[in-house]
Amino acid sequence: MTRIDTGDESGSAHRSEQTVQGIDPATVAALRGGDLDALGALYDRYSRAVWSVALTVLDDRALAEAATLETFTRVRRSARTLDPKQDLSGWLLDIARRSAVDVLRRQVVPARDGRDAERRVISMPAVEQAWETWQIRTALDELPEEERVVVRMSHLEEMSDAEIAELLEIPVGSVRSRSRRAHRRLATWLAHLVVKPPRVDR
Amino acid sequence: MTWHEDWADYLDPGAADPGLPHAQSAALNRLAGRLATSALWEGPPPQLRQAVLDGDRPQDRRSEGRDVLVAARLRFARIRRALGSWWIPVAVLVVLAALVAVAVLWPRADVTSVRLSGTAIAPGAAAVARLGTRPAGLAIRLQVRGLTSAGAGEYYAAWVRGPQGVVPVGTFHWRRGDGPVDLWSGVEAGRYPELFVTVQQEGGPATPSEQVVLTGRISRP
Repeated sequence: MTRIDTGDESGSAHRSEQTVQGIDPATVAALRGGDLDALGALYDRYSRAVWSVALTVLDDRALAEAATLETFTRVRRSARTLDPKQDLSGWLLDIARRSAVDVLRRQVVPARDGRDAERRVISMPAVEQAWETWQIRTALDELPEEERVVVRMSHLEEMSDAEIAELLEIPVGSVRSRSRRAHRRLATWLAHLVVKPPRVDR
Repeated sequence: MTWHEDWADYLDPGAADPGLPHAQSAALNRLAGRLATSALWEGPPPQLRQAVLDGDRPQDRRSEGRDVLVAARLRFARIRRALGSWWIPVAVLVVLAALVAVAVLWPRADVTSVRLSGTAIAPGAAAVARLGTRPAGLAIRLQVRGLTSAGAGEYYAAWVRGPQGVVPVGTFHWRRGDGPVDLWSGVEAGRYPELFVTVQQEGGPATPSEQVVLTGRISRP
């Protein structure tokens, strides 16, 4: 799997491999055999992370949709070659990033005479940017729903605890405790984004 | 407190600032910035799952459209080169032939024109009514000229009359000059062949007054 060096030798900052991948070995085996239910399970687990990477790279929802579709089509085609011992998450991230870049490259603007084509100047997204997006999104997806909602409201919507409490119709103390729990999980799971730059073994 | 509790508090907008070293706070600020990015909270549209399972050909829809455009332009350029310059008059002839065919074959709407004459109390007035059958009833478009605008407390009312009685088809005041007056009849013109316009008093009875200003007869529905 993609090894992430957090500098924490105790391993307490890591989610287990099973949790990180979120897909059990039987499903991976079924995926390699071309099973559609396994592909559906993989989609359910990772489509949001793939989408986030695609949208980060492409900054366009229509293109992100194309890239997400292309990612899972490539997964379907190449699932047979997936090594069961390979890190599924890293493998998928790599396909997602390549798919997004390919979609970006295909943005061809035809010239009026129909003979030549001008390529839009594209800037290749950094590997780290896609990787970081993937890490954060998969961590967010692993939060319990009631905690994820609070984190979303506080960060994306910039709502105060009191506003969140009013909207969710729960006490402010409950908002605070959910927020504290969620941020502790995130701080633990995403520690490698804080300690030092990631080292990705391929 | 442990390091990750400190980091959690730093990340948590509602918690107190634990006072971290600059390197850590900078990294956590960057992480917090990412958490405020909508790309990290959105997901793919629901129908995409089925498309994935159906094995839809991955296509960048924009490029697909552009590919089609490019192909069409190339095809057009090839045809143009093959035809040379004489294709223009041929194309013009084809278009003209198509227009003539459309003009000849196009089904005409069932429209009847009726001329309305001014009566003794409005001798300078006249109108042409165009009657068209519509799914909802008989549309009557009245082009009026020479008619004075309705006085204060008055209005014009249009009616159709036949052996079965009189049916109102609309009212207007004609205070802002010309322009068509659109009226509607819910009865068949063939059974109510007379079309006339009266001056009515606001608050008066909902029957035609004696003050007829325009009158005409529908000869064919």
